[in-house]
Amino acid sequence: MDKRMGFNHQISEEAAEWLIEFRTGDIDAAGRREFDSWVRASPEHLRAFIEMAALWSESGAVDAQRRLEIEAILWRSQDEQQVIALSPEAVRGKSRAPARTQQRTRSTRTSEAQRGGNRRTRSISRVTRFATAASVLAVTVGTALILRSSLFGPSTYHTGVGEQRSFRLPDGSRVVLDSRSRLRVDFTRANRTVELLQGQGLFYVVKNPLRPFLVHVGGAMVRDVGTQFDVNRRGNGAVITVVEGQVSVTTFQSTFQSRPAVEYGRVSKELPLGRPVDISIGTAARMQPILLSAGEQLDVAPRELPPRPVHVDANAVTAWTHGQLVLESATLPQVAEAFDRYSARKLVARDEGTPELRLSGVFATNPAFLIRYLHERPDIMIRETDSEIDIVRSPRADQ
Amino acid sequence: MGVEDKNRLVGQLAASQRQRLLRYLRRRVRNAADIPDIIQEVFLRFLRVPHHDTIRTPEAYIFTIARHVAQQHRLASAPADDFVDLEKVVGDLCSVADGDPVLQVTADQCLEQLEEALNDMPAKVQATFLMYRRDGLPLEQICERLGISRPMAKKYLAKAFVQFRKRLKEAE
Repeated sequence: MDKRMGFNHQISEEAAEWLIEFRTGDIDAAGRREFDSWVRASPEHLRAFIEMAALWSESGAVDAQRRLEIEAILWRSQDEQQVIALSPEAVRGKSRAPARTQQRTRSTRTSEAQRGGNRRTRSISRVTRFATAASVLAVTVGTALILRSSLFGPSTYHTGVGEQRSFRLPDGSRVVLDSRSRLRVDFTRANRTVELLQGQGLFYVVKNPLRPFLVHVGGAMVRDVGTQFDVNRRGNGAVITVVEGQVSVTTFQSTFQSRPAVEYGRVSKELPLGRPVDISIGTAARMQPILLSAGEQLDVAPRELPPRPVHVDANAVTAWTHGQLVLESATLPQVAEAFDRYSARKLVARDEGTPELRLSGVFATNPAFLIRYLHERPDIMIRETDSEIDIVRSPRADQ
Repeated sequence: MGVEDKNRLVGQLAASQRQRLLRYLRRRVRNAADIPDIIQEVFLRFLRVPHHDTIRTPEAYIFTIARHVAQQHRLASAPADDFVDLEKVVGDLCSVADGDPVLQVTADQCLEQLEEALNDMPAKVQATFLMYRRDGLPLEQICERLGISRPMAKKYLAKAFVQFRKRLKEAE
Protein backbone atom coordinates (compact mmCIF):
# COMPACT_ATOMS: atom_id res chain seq x y z
CA MET A 1 0.00 0.00 0.00
CA ASP A 2 1.38 3.35 -0.88
CA LYS A 3 2.30 5.73 1.84
CA ARG A 4 -0.17 8.50 1.37
CA MET A 5 -0.16 10.37 4.62
CA GLY A 6 -3.50 11.93 3.98
CA PHE A 7 -6.07 13.35 6.28
CA ASN A 8 -8.09 11.36 8.69
CA HIS A 9 -10.56 10.03 6.18
CA GLN A 10 -7.80 8.42 4.20
CA ILE A 11 -6.36 6.67 7.23
CA SER A 12 -9.83 5.55 8.19
CA GLU A 13 -10.30 4.00 4.80
CA GLU A 14 -7.00 2.20 4.93
CA ALA A 15 -7.64 0.92 8.43
CA ALA A 16 -11.07 -0.30 7.41
CA GLU A 17 -9.66 -2.06 4.38
CA TRP A 18 -7.07 -3.81 6.49
CA LEU A 19 -9.68 -4.83 8.99
CA ILE A 20 -11.82 -6.37 6.28
CA GLU A 21 -8.78 -8.15 4.82
CA PHE A 22 -8.21 -9.79 8.18
CA ARG A 23 -11.84 -10.54 8.90
CA THR A 24 -12.55 -12.12 5.55
CA GLY A 25 -9.41 -14.18 5.88
CA ASP A 26 -8.27 -12.91 2.51
CA ILE A 27 -4.98 -11.63 3.84
CA ASP A 28 -1.88 -13.53 2.72
CA ALA A 29 1.76 -13.43 3.78
CA ALA A 30 2.52 -10.45 1.56
CA GLY A 31 -0.50 -8.68 2.93
CA ARG A 32 0.65 -9.26 6.49
CA ARG A 33 4.01 -7.76 5.70
CA GLU A 34 2.36 -4.76 4.13
CA PHE A 35 0.09 -4.37 7.09
CA ASP A 36 3.01 -4.62 9.47
CA SER A 37 4.80 -1.77 7.78
CA TRP A 38 1.62 0.23 7.39
CA VAL A 39 0.93 0.03 11.08
CA ARG A 40 4.53 0.85 11.96
CA ALA A 41 4.37 3.94 9.84
CA SER A 42 2.37 6.06 12.22
CA PRO A 43 0.63 5.92 15.55
CA GLU A 44 -2.37 7.36 13.74
CA HIS A 45 -2.50 4.20 11.66
CA LEU A 46 -2.39 2.10 14.75
CA ARG A 47 -5.04 4.16 16.45
CA ALA A 48 -7.34 3.98 13.46
CA PHE A 49 -6.87 0.27 13.22
CA ILE A 50 -7.52 -0.37 16.90
CA GLU A 51 -10.65 1.70 16.72
CA MET A 52 -11.79 -0.11 13.61
CA ALA A 53 -11.25 -3.45 15.26
CA ALA A 54 -13.17 -2.30 18.29
CA LEU A 55 -15.95 -1.06 16.03
CA TRP A 56 -16.00 -4.47 14.47
CA SER A 57 -16.82 -5.98 17.83
CA GLU A 58 -19.38 -3.39 18.73
CA SER A 59 -21.04 -3.59 15.36
CA GLY A 60 -21.86 -7.22 16.03
CA ALA A 61 -24.75 -5.97 18.12
CA VAL A 62 -26.13 -3.67 15.44
CA ASP A 63 -29.71 -4.62 14.73
CA ALA A 64 -29.33 -7.78 16.77
CA GLN A 65 -33.11 -7.93 16.86
CA ARG A 66 -33.19 -8.19 13.12
CA ARG A 67 -35.63 -5.46 12.45
CA LEU A 68 -34.04 -4.50 9.20
CA GLU A 69 -34.92 -6.80 6.37
CA ILE A 70 -32.52 -7.26 3.52
CA GLU A 71 -35.36 -7.56 1.01
CA ALA A 72 -36.77 -4.23 2.12
CA ILE A 73 -33.40 -2.54 1.95
CA LEU A 74 -32.78 -3.88 -1.52
CA TRP A 75 -36.25 -2.89 -2.51
CA ARG A 76 -35.49 0.60 -1.39
CA SER A 77 -32.35 0.55 -3.45
CA GLN A 78 -34.55 -0.22 -6.45
CA ASP A 79 -36.56 2.84 -5.68
CA GLU A 80 -33.47 4.95 -5.27
CA GLN A 81 -32.40 3.95 -8.72
CA GLN A 82 -35.71 3.96 -10.52
CA VAL A 83 -36.97 7.20 -9.16
CA ILE A 84 -34.39 8.97 -11.26
CA ALA A 85 -35.19 7.24 -14.46
CA LEU A 86 -38.83 8.22 -14.35
CA SER A 87 -40.51 11.50 -15.01
CA PRO A 88 -42.01 13.30 -12.02
CA GLU A 89 -45.52 12.31 -13.07
CA ALA A 90 -44.58 8.69 -13.38
CA VAL A 91 -42.91 8.80 -10.01
CA ARG A 92 -46.00 10.10 -8.37
CA GLY A 93 -48.04 7.38 -9.98
CA LYS A 94 -45.61 4.68 -9.11
CA SER A 95 -45.12 5.63 -5.53
CA ARG A 96 -48.75 5.07 -4.81
CA ALA A 97 -48.62 1.59 -6.16
CA PRO A 98 -48.40 -1.10 -3.53
CA ALA A 99 -44.96 -2.50 -2.99
CA ARG A 100 -45.33 -6.18 -3.34
CA THR A 101 -43.98 -7.81 -6.47
CA GLN A 102 -41.08 -10.04 -5.64
CA GLN A 103 -40.48 -10.82 -9.29
CA ARG A 104 -39.69 -7.25 -9.99
CA THR A 105 -37.04 -7.21 -7.31
CA ARG A 106 -35.45 -10.28 -8.71
CA SER A 107 -35.48 -9.31 -12.34
CA THR A 108 -34.12 -5.86 -11.64
CA ARG A 109 -31.37 -7.32 -9.59
CA THR A 110 -30.31 -9.61 -12.39
CA SER A 111 -30.26 -6.83 -14.88
CA GLU A 112 -28.26 -4.80 -12.44
CA ALA A 113 -25.70 -7.51 -12.19
CA GLN A 114 -25.38 -7.40 -15.93
CA ARG A 115 -24.95 -3.71 -15.84
CA GLY A 116 -22.16 -4.11 -13.31
CA GLY A 117 -19.65 -2.81 -15.82
CA ASN A 118 -20.85 0.75 -15.89
CA ARG A 119 -20.96 1.10 -12.14
CA ARG A 120 -18.42 3.89 -12.25
CA THR A 121 -20.53 5.97 -14.59
CA ARG A 122 -23.52 5.54 -12.40
CA SER A 123 -21.75 6.43 -9.23
CA ILE A 124 -20.82 9.83 -10.57
CA SER A 125 -24.40 10.92 -10.57
CA ARG A 126 -25.00 9.34 -7.22
CA VAL A 127 -25.13 12.61 -5.30
CA THR A 128 -27.68 14.18 -7.59
CA ARG A 129 -29.61 11.00 -7.78
CA PHE A 130 -29.62 10.46 -4.11
CA ALA A 131 -30.75 13.99 -3.41
CA THR A 132 -33.63 13.67 -5.82
CA ALA A 133 -34.50 10.26 -4.53
CA ALA A 134 -34.39 11.45 -0.97
CA SER A 135 -36.77 14.31 -1.58
CA VAL A 136 -39.22 12.18 -3.47
CA LEU A 137 -38.97 9.34 -1.02
CA ALA A 138 -39.49 11.61 1.92
CA VAL A 139 -42.80 12.80 0.56
CA THR A 140 -44.24 9.71 -1.02
CA VAL A 141 -42.68 6.31 -0.75
CA GLY A 142 -41.35 6.64 2.75
CA THR A 143 -39.09 4.07 4.18
CA ALA A 144 -39.95 2.15 7.24
CA LEU A 145 -37.82 3.70 9.88
CA ILE A 146 -36.78 2.55 13.22
CA LEU A 147 -36.99 5.64 15.28
CA ARG A 148 -35.32 4.27 18.31
CA SER A 149 -33.76 0.93 18.51
CA SER A 150 -32.39 0.87 21.99
CA LEU A 151 -32.98 -2.44 23.64
CA PHE A 152 -34.89 -1.11 26.58
CA GLY A 153 -37.01 1.68 25.17
CA PRO A 154 -39.99 1.40 22.89
CA SER A 155 -39.45 1.37 19.13
CA THR A 156 -41.74 2.58 16.42
CA TYR A 157 -42.11 0.87 13.09
CA HIS A 158 -43.80 2.66 10.28
CA THR A 159 -44.59 2.37 6.62
CA GLY A 160 -44.98 5.05 4.00
CA VAL A 161 -47.78 5.53 1.53
CA GLY A 162 -48.10 2.53 -0.75
CA GLU A 163 -45.62 0.55 1.27
CA GLN A 164 -46.25 -2.74 3.00
CA ARG A 165 -43.69 -4.39 5.17
CA SER A 166 -43.28 -7.38 7.36
CA PHE A 167 -41.42 -6.90 10.61
CA ARG A 168 -40.06 -9.53 12.91
CA LEU A 169 -40.54 -8.51 16.51
CA PRO A 170 -37.96 -9.26 19.20
CA ASP A 171 -39.88 -12.33 20.42
CA GLY A 172 -40.07 -13.84 16.94
CA SER A 173 -43.64 -12.75 16.35
CA ARG A 174 -44.31 -11.09 13.05
CA VAL A 175 -46.42 -8.19 11.97
CA VAL A 176 -47.27 -7.09 8.48
CA LEU A 177 -47.97 -3.39 8.39
CA ASP A 178 -50.17 -1.94 5.71
CA SER A 179 -49.57 1.31 3.92
CA ARG A 180 -49.17 4.37 6.13
CA SER A 181 -49.20 2.56 9.44
CA ARG A 182 -47.38 3.07 12.69
CA LEU A 183 -46.75 0.52 15.38
CA ARG A 184 -45.09 1.18 18.69
CA VAL A 185 -43.42 -1.83 20.21
CA ASP A 186 -42.64 -1.88 23.88
CA PHE A 187 -41.57 -5.25 25.17
CA THR A 188 -40.82 -5.84 28.80
CA ARG A 189 -39.95 -8.95 30.68
CA ALA A 190 -43.56 -9.45 31.70
CA ASN A 191 -45.47 -8.30 28.65
CA ARG A 192 -45.20 -7.94 24.96
CA THR A 193 -47.01 -4.68 24.41
CA VAL A 194 -47.56 -3.02 21.08
CA GLU A 195 -49.72 -0.11 20.12
CA LEU A 196 -51.18 0.46 16.70
CA LEU A 197 -51.02 4.23 16.40
CA GLN A 198 -52.21 4.32 12.84
CA GLY A 199 -53.21 2.06 10.01
CA GLN A 200 -53.56 -1.67 9.91
CA GLY A 201 -51.50 -4.66 10.92
CA LEU A 202 -51.74 -8.42 10.60
CA PHE A 203 -50.16 -10.09 13.60
CA TYR A 204 -48.65 -13.55 13.78
CA VAL A 205 -48.01 -14.09 17.44
CA VAL A 206 -45.59 -16.63 18.85
CA LYS A 207 -47.13 -18.60 21.70
CA ASN A 208 -46.02 -17.67 25.17
CA PRO A 209 -48.71 -17.89 27.87
CA LEU A 210 -46.37 -16.42 30.46
CA ARG A 211 -45.76 -13.32 28.44
CA PRO A 212 -49.00 -12.25 26.81
CA PHE A 213 -49.07 -10.26 23.63
CA LEU A 214 -51.10 -7.08 24.02
CA VAL A 215 -52.23 -4.83 21.23
CA HIS A 216 -53.52 -1.43 22.22
CA VAL A 217 -55.61 0.31 19.67
CA GLY A 218 -58.24 3.04 19.69
CA GLY A 219 -60.02 2.40 22.95
CA ALA A 220 -59.48 -1.32 23.01
CA MET A 221 -56.91 -3.85 24.03
CA VAL A 222 -56.43 -7.16 22.31
CA ARG A 223 -54.84 -9.89 24.36
CA ASP A 224 -53.40 -12.90 22.75
CA VAL A 225 -51.15 -15.80 23.56
CA GLY A 226 -50.42 -17.20 20.14
CA THR A 227 -52.51 -16.75 17.06
CA GLN A 228 -53.11 -14.67 13.96
CA PHE A 229 -55.26 -11.60 13.81
CA ASP A 230 -55.79 -8.36 12.00
CA VAL A 231 -56.19 -4.96 13.63
CA ASN A 232 -57.41 -2.04 11.60
CA ARG A 233 -57.32 1.31 13.28
CA ARG A 234 -60.10 3.68 12.25
CA GLY A 235 -60.01 7.08 13.81
CA ASN A 236 -60.52 6.52 17.48
CA GLY A 237 -61.93 3.07 16.95
CA ALA A 238 -60.66 -0.18 15.55
CA VAL A 239 -61.77 -3.30 13.75
CA ILE A 240 -60.30 -6.53 15.06
CA THR A 241 -60.51 -9.72 13.05
CA VAL A 242 -59.24 -13.12 14.13
CA VAL A 243 -57.76 -15.31 11.42
CA GLU A 244 -56.64 -18.18 13.60
CA GLY A 245 -56.96 -19.06 17.27
CA GLN A 246 -58.60 -16.83 19.82
CA VAL A 247 -58.10 -13.42 21.36
CA SER A 248 -59.81 -11.50 24.08
CA VAL A 249 -60.68 -7.88 23.48
CA THR A 250 -61.15 -5.41 26.26
CA THR A 251 -62.87 -2.20 25.34
CA PHE A 252 -63.04 1.00 27.25
CA GLN A 253 -66.04 3.21 27.74
CA SER A 254 -66.63 6.16 25.53
CA THR A 255 -65.75 8.70 28.21
CA PHE A 256 -62.22 7.78 27.44
CA GLN A 257 -62.15 7.85 23.72
CA SER A 258 -60.67 11.31 23.42
CA ARG A 259 -57.62 10.36 25.41
CA PRO A 260 -54.65 9.18 23.44
CA ALA A 261 -54.40 5.43 23.36
CA VAL A 262 -50.88 5.77 24.70
CA GLU A 263 -52.43 6.01 28.13
CA TYR A 264 -53.44 2.41 27.99
CA GLY A 265 -50.02 1.36 26.90
CA ARG A 266 -48.46 2.99 29.90
CA VAL A 267 -50.78 1.33 32.31
CA SER A 268 -50.20 -2.14 31.07
CA LYS A 269 -46.48 -1.80 31.41
CA GLU A 270 -46.71 -1.62 35.14
CA LEU A 271 -48.68 -4.78 35.47
CA PRO A 272 -47.21 -7.68 37.31
CA LEU A 273 -46.26 -10.76 35.43
CA GLY A 274 -49.09 -12.86 34.08
CA ARG A 275 -51.96 -10.58 35.06
CA PRO A 276 -52.35 -8.25 32.13
CA VAL A 277 -56.13 -8.29 32.02
CA ASP A 278 -56.49 -6.92 35.48
CA ILE A 279 -56.41 -3.27 34.58
CA SER A 280 -57.98 -0.29 36.20
CA ILE A 281 -57.41 3.05 34.61
CA GLY A 282 -58.48 6.02 36.60
CA THR A 283 -62.07 6.87 35.84
CA ALA A 284 -62.30 4.69 32.79
CA ALA A 285 -64.75 1.88 33.14
CA ARG A 286 -63.47 -1.25 31.58
CA MET A 287 -65.98 -3.50 29.89
CA GLN A 288 -66.01 -7.26 30.16
CA PRO A 289 -63.46 -8.81 27.84
CA ILE A 290 -65.03 -10.16 24.67
CA LEU A 291 -63.77 -13.44 23.34
CA LEU A 292 -63.17 -13.55 19.61
CA SER A 293 -62.57 -16.75 17.65
CA ALA A 294 -61.30 -17.45 14.17
CA GLY A 295 -63.48 -15.85 11.52
CA GLU A 296 -64.99 -13.38 13.94
CA GLN A 297 -64.72 -9.64 13.84
CA LEU A 298 -65.31 -6.92 16.37
CA ASP A 299 -65.87 -3.31 15.42
CA VAL A 300 -64.84 -1.16 18.33
CA ALA A 301 -66.14 2.31 17.75
CA PRO A 302 -66.30 5.04 20.33
CA ARG A 303 -69.65 6.32 21.53
CA GLU A 304 -71.31 3.06 20.84
CA LEU A 305 -72.86 0.30 22.80
CA PRO A 306 -70.72 -2.69 23.65
CA PRO A 307 -69.68 -4.16 20.34
CA ARG A 308 -70.75 -7.59 19.22
CA PRO A 309 -68.66 -10.08 17.30
CA VAL A 310 -69.84 -10.81 13.77
CA HIS A 311 -68.78 -13.54 11.38
CA VAL A 312 -66.67 -12.39 8.47
CA ASP A 313 -64.50 -13.81 5.74
CA ALA A 314 -61.07 -13.43 7.29
CA ASN A 315 -59.44 -13.86 3.88
CA ALA A 316 -61.27 -10.83 2.58
CA VAL A 317 -60.22 -8.82 5.60
CA THR A 318 -56.56 -9.68 5.13
CA ALA A 319 -56.63 -9.36 1.34
CA TRP A 320 -54.66 -6.14 1.70
CA THR A 321 -51.58 -8.23 2.36
CA HIS A 322 -51.87 -9.28 -1.29
CA GLY A 323 -52.48 -5.73 -2.42
CA GLN A 324 -56.23 -6.13 -2.63
CA LEU A 325 -59.19 -4.50 -1.02
CA VAL A 326 -62.41 -6.42 -0.80
CA LEU A 327 -65.41 -4.15 -0.66
CA GLU A 328 -68.87 -5.30 0.06
CA SER A 329 -71.70 -2.91 -0.51
CA ALA A 330 -69.53 0.04 0.50
CA THR A 331 -70.73 3.61 0.22
CA LEU A 332 -68.62 6.14 -1.63
CA PRO A 333 -67.28 7.74 1.57
CA GLN A 334 -66.43 4.27 2.87
CA VAL A 335 -64.59 3.49 -0.35
CA ALA A 336 -62.64 6.73 -0.08
CA GLU A 337 -61.77 5.93 3.51
CA ALA A 338 -60.60 2.46 2.60
CA PHE A 339 -58.39 3.72 -0.21
CA ASP A 340 -57.12 6.79 1.57
CA ARG A 341 -54.37 4.83 3.30
CA TYR A 342 -52.82 3.99 -0.06
CA SER A 343 -53.02 7.45 -1.49
CA ALA A 344 -50.40 10.16 -1.21
CA ARG A 345 -53.17 12.72 -1.54
CA LYS A 346 -56.15 12.74 0.72
CA LEU A 347 -59.20 11.02 -0.70
CA VAL A 348 -62.51 12.69 0.05
CA ALA A 349 -65.85 11.50 -1.25
CA ARG A 350 -69.39 12.74 -1.10
CA ASP A 351 -72.45 11.02 -2.46
CA GLU A 352 -75.30 13.38 -3.20
CA GLY A 353 -77.24 10.91 -5.28
CA THR A 354 -80.25 8.88 -4.27
CA PRO A 355 -80.22 6.05 -3.75
CA GLU A 356 -76.65 6.13 -2.65
CA LEU A 357 -74.09 4.24 -4.64
CA ARG A 358 -72.90 0.93 -3.24
CA LEU A 359 -69.72 -0.69 -4.49
CA SER A 360 -68.75 -4.34 -4.18
CA GLY A 361 -65.82 -6.25 -5.52
CA VAL A 362 -62.13 -6.88 -5.28
CA PHE A 363 -59.97 -3.84 -5.97
CA ALA A 364 -56.26 -3.31 -6.23
CA THR A 365 -55.09 -1.11 -3.39
CA ASN A 366 -53.57 1.32 -5.86
CA PRO A 367 -55.95 4.30 -5.75
CA ALA A 368 -55.09 5.12 -9.36
CA PHE A 369 -57.21 2.15 -10.43
CA LEU A 370 -60.14 3.33 -8.35
CA ILE A 371 -59.92 6.82 -9.76
CA ARG A 372 -59.79 5.49 -13.28
CA TYR A 373 -62.81 3.32 -12.58
CA LEU A 374 -64.80 6.17 -11.08
CA HIS A 375 -63.82 8.48 -13.93
CA GLU A 376 -65.76 6.25 -16.26
CA ARG A 377 -68.98 6.87 -14.42
CA PRO A 378 -70.80 9.89 -15.85
CA ASP A 379 -72.41 10.77 -12.53
CA ILE A 380 -69.09 11.12 -10.74
CA MET A 381 -66.93 14.22 -10.75
CA ILE A 382 -63.33 14.04 -9.68
CA ARG A 383 -61.38 17.12 -8.77
CA GLU A 384 -57.67 16.66 -8.15
CA THR A 385 -55.40 19.12 -6.39
CA ASP A 386 -51.86 18.68 -5.12
CA SER A 387 -53.08 17.62 -1.73
CA GLU A 388 -56.51 16.18 -2.31
CA ILE A 389 -58.63 14.06 -4.56
CA ASP A 390 -62.21 15.11 -4.28
CA ILE A 391 -64.84 12.64 -5.44
CA VAL A 392 -68.42 13.87 -5.77
CA ARG A 393 -71.39 11.99 -7.04
CA SER A 394 -73.99 14.34 -8.43
CA PRO A 395 -77.63 14.16 -7.29
CA ARG A 396 -78.80 12.98 -10.68
CA ALA A 397 -80.36 9.57 -10.85
CA ASP A 398 -78.02 6.65 -10.85
CA GLN A 399 -76.92 5.47 -14.27
CA MET B 1 1.33 -26.36 22.66
CA GLY B 2 1.91 -26.04 18.93
CA VAL B 3 2.37 -22.82 17.09
CA GLU B 4 -1.11 -23.06 15.62
CA ASP B 5 -2.66 -23.46 19.04
CA LYS B 6 -0.65 -20.62 20.38
CA ASN B 7 -1.72 -18.40 17.56
CA ARG B 8 -5.29 -19.33 18.07
CA LEU B 9 -5.03 -18.58 21.73
CA VAL B 10 -3.52 -15.20 21.06
CA GLY B 11 -6.25 -14.55 18.55
CA GLN B 12 -8.93 -15.42 21.03
CA LEU B 13 -7.30 -13.34 23.67
CA ALA B 14 -7.10 -10.42 21.34
CA ALA B 15 -10.71 -10.86 20.38
CA SER B 16 -11.82 -10.93 23.96
CA GLN B 17 -9.82 -7.85 24.75
CA ARG B 18 -10.91 -5.72 21.90
CA GLN B 19 -14.22 -4.61 23.30
CA ARG B 20 -12.70 -4.03 26.68
CA LEU B 21 -10.02 -1.94 25.22
CA LEU B 22 -12.31 0.16 23.14
CA ARG B 23 -14.78 0.75 25.88
CA TYR B 24 -11.98 1.45 28.22
CA LEU B 25 -10.50 3.87 25.76
CA ARG B 26 -13.76 5.48 24.92
CA ARG B 27 -14.55 6.04 28.54
CA ARG B 28 -11.22 7.71 28.90
CA VAL B 29 -11.91 9.86 25.91
CA ARG B 30 -14.84 11.40 27.67
CA ASN B 31 -12.93 12.05 30.83
CA ALA B 32 -9.32 12.64 30.05
CA ALA B 33 -6.94 13.08 27.22
CA ASP B 34 -4.83 10.04 27.89
CA ILE B 35 -5.87 7.96 24.91
CA PRO B 36 -3.09 9.37 22.79
CA ASP B 37 -0.68 8.25 25.52
CA ILE B 38 -2.01 4.73 25.47
CA ILE B 39 -1.95 4.53 21.73
CA GLN B 40 1.52 5.96 21.73
CA GLU B 41 2.64 3.37 24.23
CA VAL B 42 1.09 0.54 22.25
CA PHE B 43 2.72 1.89 19.15
CA LEU B 44 6.15 2.14 20.71
CA ARG B 45 5.97 -1.34 22.09
CA PHE B 46 4.83 -2.65 18.77
CA LEU B 47 7.82 -1.03 17.13
CA ARG B 48 10.07 -2.78 19.60
CA VAL B 49 8.81 -6.19 18.53
CA PRO B 50 10.90 -7.35 15.56
CA HIS B 51 9.20 -7.64 12.20
CA HIS B 52 9.69 -11.33 11.87
CA ASP B 53 7.77 -11.92 15.06
CA THR B 54 4.84 -9.68 14.34
CA ILE B 55 4.34 -10.47 10.71
CA ARG B 56 2.75 -13.80 11.37
CA THR B 57 -0.16 -12.38 13.28
CA PRO B 58 0.33 -8.64 13.43
CA GLU B 59 -3.25 -8.07 14.41
CA ALA B 60 -3.10 -10.38 17.36
CA TYR B 61 0.14 -8.79 18.48
CA ILE B 62 -1.40 -5.38 18.48
CA PHE B 63 -4.18 -6.41 20.73
CA THR B 64 -2.02 -8.36 23.09
CA ILE B 65 0.19 -5.34 23.50
CA ALA B 66 -2.74 -3.00 23.78
CA ARG B 67 -4.28 -5.15 26.45
CA HIS B 68 -1.12 -5.04 28.52
CA VAL B 69 -0.82 -1.31 28.16
CA ALA B 70 -4.44 -0.67 29.00
CA GLN B 71 -4.23 -2.91 32.01
CA GLN B 72 -1.11 -1.25 33.29
CA HIS B 73 -2.57 2.13 32.70
CA ARG B 74 -5.63 1.16 34.63
CA LEU B 75 -3.67 -0.25 37.50
CA ALA B 76 -1.62 2.87 37.66
CA SER B 77 -4.43 5.35 37.37
CA ALA B 78 -7.26 3.81 39.31
CA PRO B 79 -7.87 1.44 42.14
CA ALA B 80 -9.51 -1.87 41.35
CA ASP B 81 -12.90 -0.35 40.70
CA ASP B 82 -15.11 -1.92 38.15
CA PHE B 83 -12.83 -4.25 36.33
CA VAL B 84 -15.51 -6.62 35.21
CA ASP B 85 -15.11 -10.25 34.43
CA LEU B 86 -13.83 -10.61 30.92
CA GLU B 87 -15.94 -13.61 30.19
CA LYS B 88 -19.01 -11.55 30.76
CA VAL B 89 -18.02 -8.88 28.33
CA VAL B 90 -17.08 -11.21 25.56
CA GLY B 91 -19.82 -12.34 23.34
CA ASP B 92 -23.03 -10.49 23.23
CA LEU B 93 -22.41 -6.87 23.84
CA CYS B 94 -26.06 -6.07 23.85
CA SER B 95 -27.09 -8.41 26.59
CA VAL B 96 -24.78 -6.53 28.89
CA ALA B 97 -25.61 -6.96 32.49
CA ASP B 98 -22.19 -6.37 33.85
CA GLY B 99 -23.44 -4.00 36.46
CA ASP B 100 -21.51 -1.01 35.28
CA PRO B 101 -23.97 1.71 34.38
CA VAL B 102 -21.31 3.88 32.82
CA LEU B 103 -20.20 1.15 30.47
CA GLN B 104 -23.80 0.29 29.80
CA VAL B 105 -24.70 3.80 28.78
CA THR B 106 -21.63 4.08 26.64
CA ALA B 107 -22.38 0.81 24.92
CA ASP B 108 -26.00 1.79 24.30
CA GLN B 109 -25.04 5.18 22.97
CA CYS B 110 -22.42 3.64 20.79
CA LEU B 111 -24.90 1.18 19.38
CA GLU B 112 -27.39 3.93 18.73
CA GLN B 113 -24.76 5.90 16.87
CA LEU B 114 -23.83 2.90 14.79
CA GLU B 115 -27.44 2.22 13.89
CA GLU B 116 -28.00 5.81 12.92
CA ALA B 117 -24.89 5.80 10.80
CA LEU B 118 -26.03 2.60 9.13
CA ASN B 119 -29.35 4.17 8.32
CA ASP B 120 -27.61 6.89 6.36
CA MET B 121 -25.58 4.54 4.22
CA PRO B 122 -26.43 3.53 0.67
CA ALA B 123 -28.75 0.53 0.54
CA LYS B 124 -26.17 -1.89 -0.80
CA VAL B 125 -23.66 -0.97 1.84
CA GLN B 126 -26.33 -1.54 4.46
CA ALA B 127 -27.33 -4.86 2.97
CA THR B 128 -23.77 -6.08 2.68
CA PHE B 129 -22.92 -5.10 6.22
CA LEU B 130 -26.06 -6.66 7.71
CA MET B 131 -25.69 -9.91 5.82
CA TYR B 132 -22.04 -10.27 6.71
CA ARG B 133 -21.92 -9.00 10.25
CA ARG B 134 -25.41 -9.55 11.59
CA ASP B 135 -26.45 -12.64 9.66
CA GLY B 136 -22.96 -14.12 9.39
CA LEU B 137 -23.40 -15.06 5.75
CA PRO B 138 -20.30 -16.00 3.78
CA LEU B 139 -19.07 -13.34 1.41
CA GLU B 140 -19.66 -15.56 -1.62
CA GLN B 141 -23.33 -15.79 -0.84
CA ILE B 142 -23.64 -12.05 -0.37
CA CYS B 143 -21.91 -11.40 -3.68
CA GLU B 144 -24.25 -13.74 -5.42
CA ARG B 145 -27.31 -12.21 -3.89
CA LEU B 146 -26.31 -8.66 -4.66
CA GLY B 147 -24.74 -9.48 -8.00
CA ILE B 148 -21.45 -7.89 -7.05
CA SER B 149 -17.82 -8.98 -7.03
CA ARG B 150 -15.87 -9.97 -3.94
CA PRO B 151 -13.67 -6.85 -4.01
CA MET B 152 -16.82 -4.77 -4.28
CA ALA B 153 -18.40 -6.48 -1.30
CA LYS B 154 -15.25 -5.86 0.72
CA LYS B 155 -15.26 -2.27 -0.37
CA TYR B 156 -18.82 -1.91 0.85
CA LEU B 157 -17.89 -3.43 4.19
CA ALA B 158 -14.92 -1.10 4.57
CA LYS B 159 -17.14 1.80 3.65
CA ALA B 160 -19.56 0.90 6.41
CA PHE B 161 -16.77 0.92 8.97
CA VAL B 162 -15.38 4.22 7.76
CA GLN B 163 -18.84 5.69 8.27
CA PHE B 164 -19.10 4.12 11.71
CA ARG B 165 -15.82 5.62 12.80
CA LYS B 166 -16.72 8.96 11.33
CA ARG B 167 -20.01 9.00 13.19
CA LEU B 168 -18.39 8.19 16.51
CA LYS B 169 -15.73 10.82 15.95
CA GLU B 170 -18.40 13.40 15.31
CA ALA B 171 -20.22 12.32 18.43
CA GLU B 172 -17.22 12.64 20.65
